[in-house]
Amino acid sequence: MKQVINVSIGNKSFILEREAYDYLNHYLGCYKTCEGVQTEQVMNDLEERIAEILSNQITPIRNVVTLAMVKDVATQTGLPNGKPYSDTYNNQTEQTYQNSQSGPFNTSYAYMGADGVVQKRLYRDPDNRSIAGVCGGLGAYFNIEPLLFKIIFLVFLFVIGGGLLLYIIFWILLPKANTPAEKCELRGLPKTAENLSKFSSVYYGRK
Amino acid sequence: MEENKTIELNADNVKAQMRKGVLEYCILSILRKGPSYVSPMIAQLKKGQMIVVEGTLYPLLTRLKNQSLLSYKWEESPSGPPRKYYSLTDRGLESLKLMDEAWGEVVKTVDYIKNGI
Repeated sequence: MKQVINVSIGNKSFILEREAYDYLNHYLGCYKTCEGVQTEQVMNDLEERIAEILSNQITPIRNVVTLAMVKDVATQTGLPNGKPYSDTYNNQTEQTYQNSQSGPFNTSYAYMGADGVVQKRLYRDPDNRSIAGVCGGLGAYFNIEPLLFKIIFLVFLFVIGGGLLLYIIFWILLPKANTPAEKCELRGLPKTAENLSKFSSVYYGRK
Repeated sequence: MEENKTIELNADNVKAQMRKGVLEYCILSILRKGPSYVSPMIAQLKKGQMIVVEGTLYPLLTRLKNQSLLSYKWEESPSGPPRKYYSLTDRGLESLKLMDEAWGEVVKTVDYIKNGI
């Protein structure tokens, strides 16, 4: 199983394997900055040609562009100075390729959290509660078994005596994690569609 | 052995320079026979061993277009997306005639020097 990426090449839509996308992206970058900077017009011509070659290779059934296909394309089209691309790729720019490989995918996580930072906040956890979900919330926040907090509260209740008061203070101060977004914050998870949907069935199911 | 390699490299370099010099002339010559799109132009240039990779062509085509020696228009193709058909402009044809003369002169001069006639 491989991750694929939808892109438009020469105003035509293609589905690329992730490796193929990285390779092609790097190739186009090399082409653009080879022998001075190539203009938009030149890049359009090149992309149109790449689109033409690729559309001859895919079929409606086998419609995913593979790494092997884009490698062939880059070998065929080469660089503006008449040199083949594969040589440059292997000898000089392995490092940049490695960087660019991790680049776009790391940043794609950034806009999943509000400002690239995953928020973590303490809530009461209504999905995991005995009384009001204080211990469940603490457990989820610190990623520790909630039973441990329950024992601590009980110890405080019997031995020192302040346990019940402490529990009630927490009950009043902590808001309940109602929405899937709040449940993500409680666990320190990024608010991705995948994570949100994990909690949304519980959320909407209860309504 | 080492020296042979250097000579070979040097010859390759000169060959590449020569090709580069006449590539523009070749493109215009191909288009003299009528409008064409990129694929057959590339096929012809490759067959004549004028280019190794296609990438050389695109900056050149854009430059010729910007100098108004070429023009292009989009035409439907029987299969796949529409194609860009390039054709010579009047200016391009004029320029090509001058290049013809220049090429003839170059060939004559080189022959003259080589054969010492």
